[in-house]
Amino acid sequence: MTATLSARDLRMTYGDGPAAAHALAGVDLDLGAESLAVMGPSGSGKTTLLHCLAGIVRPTSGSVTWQGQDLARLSDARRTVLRRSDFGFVFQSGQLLPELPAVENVALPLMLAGVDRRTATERAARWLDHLGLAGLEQRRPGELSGGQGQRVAIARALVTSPGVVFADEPTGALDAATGQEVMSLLVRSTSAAGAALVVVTHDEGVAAWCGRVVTMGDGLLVDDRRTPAAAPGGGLR
Amino acid sequence: MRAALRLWWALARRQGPDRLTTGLAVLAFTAVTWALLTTLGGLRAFVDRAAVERTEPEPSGMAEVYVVLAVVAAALILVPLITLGGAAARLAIARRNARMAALRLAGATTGQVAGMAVADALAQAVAGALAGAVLYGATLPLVALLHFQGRAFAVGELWVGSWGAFALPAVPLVALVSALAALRRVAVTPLGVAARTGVKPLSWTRLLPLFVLVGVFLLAANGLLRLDAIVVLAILVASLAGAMWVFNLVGPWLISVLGRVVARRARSVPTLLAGRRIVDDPKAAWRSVGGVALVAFVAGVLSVSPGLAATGAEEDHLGVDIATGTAITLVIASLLAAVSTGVTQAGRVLDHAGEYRALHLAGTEVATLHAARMRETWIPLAVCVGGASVTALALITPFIDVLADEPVGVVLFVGSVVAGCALVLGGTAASRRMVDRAAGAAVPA
Repeated sequence: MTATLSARDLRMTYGDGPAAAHALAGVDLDLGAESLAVMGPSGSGKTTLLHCLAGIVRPTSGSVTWQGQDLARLSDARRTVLRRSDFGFVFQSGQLLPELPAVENVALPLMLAGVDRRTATERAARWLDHLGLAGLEQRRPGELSGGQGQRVAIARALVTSPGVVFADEPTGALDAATGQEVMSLLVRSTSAAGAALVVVTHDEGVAAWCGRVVTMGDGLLVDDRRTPAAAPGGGLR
Repeated sequence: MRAALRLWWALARRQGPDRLTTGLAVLAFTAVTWALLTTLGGLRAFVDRAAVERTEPEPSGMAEVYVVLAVVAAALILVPLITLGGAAARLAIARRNARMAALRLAGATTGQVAGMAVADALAQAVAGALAGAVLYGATLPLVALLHFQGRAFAVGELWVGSWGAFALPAVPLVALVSALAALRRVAVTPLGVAARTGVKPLSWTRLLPLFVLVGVFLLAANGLLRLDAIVVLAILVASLAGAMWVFNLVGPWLISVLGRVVARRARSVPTLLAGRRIVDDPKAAWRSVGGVALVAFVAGVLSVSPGLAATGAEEDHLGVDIATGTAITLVIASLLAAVSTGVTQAGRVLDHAGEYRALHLAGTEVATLHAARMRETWIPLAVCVGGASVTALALITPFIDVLADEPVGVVLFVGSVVAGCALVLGGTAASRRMVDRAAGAAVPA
């Protein structure tokens, strides 16, 4: 799947009247099959932009086009299904169900999409193996280290072969060395799977892994630059 | 400790997001107190009626039978009562994680933090006990409408009187013990409250006391007839207490086996989640259904009593009264189980709000989350209460002719089982909006 995600004049306002806060004040962005880091200070609109691009929230105005459809016009139910089938997500923490072993956490989106349990579990186990977690399939999130947990989250994000993976501060809860490992794995695996990657971060070290870095300030894109990032590696289908 | 109490009081008045869990815990303690006082009031009414009967020229002795039956009913309700009291206290403790860690970070000692947590649980228990006492008083006229021994109760008969002075402090006491036990299981550090890693599966050795109890009972039963009546009674009471203990040991183990089977065979996500959650905390699942299953079994067996006791005499009410009494016991046990389920589920939603939110953001329909929670309750409920009911009905099949002549007992039994299950499922459904809120927490529009 070749990523073609476009945002046009994206605006998001919370509240109204004099107390209104403009989280997005007119953002234009095109995303190809690339890795993109969204940087900026707290309150600059990074996470709101990610939520709008991923169809989590409807923007106040403007459009987000994915595969020819405007996410802003889709119903909540349709956007939920689309997030499951076309996008993958990696958050800072708290995304894995504590009662499920790693392999079932990864198989979850496939089963939700109607894949039978055996096939879903087999594919999930292959992804865990690919991400260096062979032998830990039956461990539950509480029995994994922070870095291992994020690898499980990456496997879950990629198992459905998404078009775009959205990551919100994916290394925020990890130490520097583990964070570098996780970013390396996230960028390489996403690229090898042919998916685009959008990473929201405030960390220059994390952004350096991406081929393109945009910076936000007061709800606007204030900088857009290409970086010489390398993302070699092998993927899995 | 005085500083800790002062700080607790200052924080207690600024609860913010903790208000919901506080409300739930107080509600649970209210239900416990109401059920306790109502049960004791009923027991006292039968004791007083027996005392009056003893002064009659030719006492029939029937009133004494009612006292024994009321004691048994009270004993049956005691298990879900204590369980719910414990669940409420655990809720009071567990939902304070962030605050307890922040206090440690600010320099509070483990003892001070523990003291504040226990004070929380105690304050909620006292508030619940007072509210429960008021509710008990308010519902007395309704309870008095019930007919036993051929007549309705007078409101004064059901007044718990001096027994209440012992019963009311019991509620905060249970809360205190449970809160201390809950605190022993967590380590409060400045960086957070230590999370559980891994689940230790319940061992099959929980079955051993069952075999021991059955063996002892069989041995004792052989010699029972040669013993004094008082010794026989003591053995029977000890057996009943032992049976309750064993019932609560074996139940969670059976539930964990059930959870593993459900998880292994699950084909859909809601069933898989339900199975894994049951395996994750079989004791919580048992708390939701154990008491109802026990009473359903007893009520099922006793549903035949109206037919067996029917002699045609106008004054003979024992059979119908037994059926009515067991139906009421079943409904009270179900009500307690419903509150217990509601409290446990609400606590779990609050605990896992982050995961619910992340799952929804990643494309999981909220309906899937609801379905998983409902299955987590109704699968054990159907297996335990259904199993207990079917077993009880199988036991009374030899009396099928009697049932055909006098079906009131079975009608009462089936009605109360249906009502009980509906209450427990309602307890789960009550936290539906909390799931909606947790799942949509990051979706402001």
